[in-house]
Amino acid sequence: MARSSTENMITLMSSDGEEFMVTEKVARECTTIRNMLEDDCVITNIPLPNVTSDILSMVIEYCMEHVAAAEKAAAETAEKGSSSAPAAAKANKDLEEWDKAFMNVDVYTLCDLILAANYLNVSGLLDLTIQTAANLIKGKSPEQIRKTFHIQNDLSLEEEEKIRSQTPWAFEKSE
Amino acid sequence: MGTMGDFDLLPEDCFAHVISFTSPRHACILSLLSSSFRSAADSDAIWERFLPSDYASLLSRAVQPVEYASKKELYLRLCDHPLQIDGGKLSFGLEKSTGAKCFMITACKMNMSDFQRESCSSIILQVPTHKYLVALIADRAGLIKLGPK
Repeated sequence: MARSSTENMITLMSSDGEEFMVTEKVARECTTIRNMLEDDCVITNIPLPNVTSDILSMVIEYCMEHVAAAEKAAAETAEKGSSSAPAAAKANKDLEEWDKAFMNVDVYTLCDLILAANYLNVSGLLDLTIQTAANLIKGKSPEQIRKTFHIQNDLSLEEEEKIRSQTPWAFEKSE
Repeated sequence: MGTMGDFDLLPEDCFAHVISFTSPRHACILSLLSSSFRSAADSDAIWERFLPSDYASLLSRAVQPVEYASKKELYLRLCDHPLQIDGGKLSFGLEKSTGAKCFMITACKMNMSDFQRESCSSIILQVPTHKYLVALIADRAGLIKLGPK
């Protein structure tokens, strides 16, 4: 899609000093940045000392994909009106598939993305990453979770017994 | 010191957010993993999310005031000991693994309007008769199913 040459560009700088040029629209997907832009409309260079370049590039990729999808949907609706509904449903499904593929990352990257989405306040990405982390935990026994995520148990047998006896129903059978 | 393993990177409030996307059952399972998990999984922030959104107003209708030290304690209390509300006409409890609201009413005082105003799409009613405890599943339109518990 041709972009208007007058569209404002913002430079985001990662903690390791890498610079990323993005359109203002993409940058505004991050509520934290949107607030900065609203406080100071001439700002064009934003240092993000809490986000590494690897993670920042992923956050930007997510925001670009979602901005592009929203723009495409708005254009379809403007062109075809309500008859664009089936196309919109397909576009939603495609975006869900894209999100799913985007979440194919290791646990460390996932945690980094949660932190970045939380700090930059990208609500869609935060929900997606938190839900992905929650899904990793669901349906596993305590032993399986410890093994999968390398969790060292420091509770004594007595403490464990006390926790189990408080809510025995939770340990009867995994969902 | 117990660790959060691969989740070590996450501060407790972020991890609490993850747990609140699971279920009460999972929160209980997570509290067993290590001391760090226990403190994250027992926090009020999580159990507040598992309680019904109108729990405070339901508590205010209780016949006897409810005292609790944490939101988890309140949740478990409401699962195990339904609370008498509205002068004893109704009692209110929670379904353990999901947190769904359950209202119970005595057969002789049964009146659909008493629970139709509750804000949920379906309600499980347990009606104690002199012989059996009968569970009814109701929605706003009326009774759907009737059978022994």
